[in-house]
Amino acid sequence: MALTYPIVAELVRGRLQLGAKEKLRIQKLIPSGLQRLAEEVSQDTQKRRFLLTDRFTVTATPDATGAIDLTSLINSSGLMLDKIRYGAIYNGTDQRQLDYFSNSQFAEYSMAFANTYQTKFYRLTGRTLHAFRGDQTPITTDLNFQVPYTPTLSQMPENDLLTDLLDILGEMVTSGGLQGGVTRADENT
Amino acid sequence: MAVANITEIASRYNRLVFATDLYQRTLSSPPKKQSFNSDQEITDIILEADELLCLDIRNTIGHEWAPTFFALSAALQNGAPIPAMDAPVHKVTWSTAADGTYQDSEVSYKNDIIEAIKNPLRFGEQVSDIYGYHEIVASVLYSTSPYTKVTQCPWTRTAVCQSPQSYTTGVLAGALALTPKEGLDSGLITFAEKKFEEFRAMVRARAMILPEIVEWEESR
Repeated sequence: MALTYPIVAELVRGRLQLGAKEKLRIQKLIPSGLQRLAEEVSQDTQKRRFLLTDRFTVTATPDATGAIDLTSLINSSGLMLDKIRYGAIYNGTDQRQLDYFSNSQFAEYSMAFANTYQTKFYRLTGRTLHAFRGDQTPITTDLNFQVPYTPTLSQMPENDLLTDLLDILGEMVTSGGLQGGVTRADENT
Repeated sequence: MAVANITEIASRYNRLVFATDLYQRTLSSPPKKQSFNSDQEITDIILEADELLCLDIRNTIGHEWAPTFFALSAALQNGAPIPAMDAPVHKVTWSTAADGTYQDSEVSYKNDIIEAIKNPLRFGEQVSDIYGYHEIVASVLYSTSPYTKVTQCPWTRTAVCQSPQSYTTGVLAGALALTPKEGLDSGLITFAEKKFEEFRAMVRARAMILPEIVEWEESR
C-alpha cells in the first residue's frame, strides 16, 4: 500500500499513543520531517544512495557560459543545494563525474588547469552552477544530476526509510512540534 | 432484536407488588395517602423507567442499541450548522460526493481543520489527503471533507417501551424504583432502587443483556 500523509500520521499517533485528534496536526509536520530525513540521509554514507536523484531524468542544460540556474530543479525535484557535493553530476553519457571546485579554489588555481580539456569541473555561486572544463571552456551540453534531494512522501523508499521518518516525526512531536500540547490516546477526545 | 414488552412488564410488576403483605393490607385497609393505584399510572411509570434506560443508551457513544434511534443528517459542508435536536452526535461520516459512499470521519481541532482547508498541500501531497477530519463546535460542523453527514440519536417517548427486550428486568426494576413508597413494601422499593442504579451503570457500560433478579424469579 502506498504511503499517504494520513497513514504516516496514524503510524506516528499509534507509536506515541496520542489522542485521535492529533492526527491532522501530525500531518502538518510531515513536510518538515521529510526535509530533516533528507538532511540526515545525505550525511549518512550508508543510506545516502536511497535519496539520490535519478541522473537520467533530472537534467539541465547550461547556457553558453556554462551556467545553470538551479531554482527550477530545487523546486521540481527537491534538489538540496548545499548537499550537491555529496552526489555526482555527469555530462551526458560521459561516465566521469564533474569534480567540485570551490570559488576560492577556482580563483587561486584556475590557471593550473589550463589545457586539461578532458577534466570537467563545476562550482556553485548562489543558486547558479557553473560547469567548465579544465581549460576553462564552458560546458554547454546537458548535465545529469545524481544528487541528494528532499523526497515527497510517495517518492520516499518505504522499506528503507519509513522507520527513520517515523523516528524523526516522533521526536518532532515529543519535542513540542504540536502547538498547544497533545492529548494522549487514553484521554477523552 | 425486539423491544421490551410493556404488557409483560406490567404483569410482572403487579405480581411483585401484590405479592407483598403490605400491599395486600393496603387493599383491605388503604393508607391515607395511597398515590399509586391505576393501570395508567403503572403504564406511565414503566414508560418513565424505559425512558431513563433509553436516554442512557443514546448518551452512551458506541452502544449497540443506539442505532435504533439514529437520525442521519443531509450531506453537510464545512461551516454548516448540524440539525437542531436534543440529541448527542454518535457518528460523523464523510464522502467526496453528496450521494457517494460515506466512511467514518475522525475528530480533529477546528483551527487545524480551517488551516488545512486553506492550505491543503501543507498537510498532504494532494488535497484528498486532508479529507476525513471534523470537529463540532457550538453546533457548527467544521469538516475537511467535501460532504459530511452527522448521525444523531434523538429519542421521543411513545406509548410502548423502546429499550431492548434484554433490558426487561431493568425496566421492571426502574418501574418499581420509581413507585412512591407510600402504602407499599418499602424494602421492595429500596431493593429495586439499588438494582435499577446497578442496571443503569451496566447500560452505560454497553451491556447488551441485563440479568434476571433471582429474588424476583420466585414470584413469577
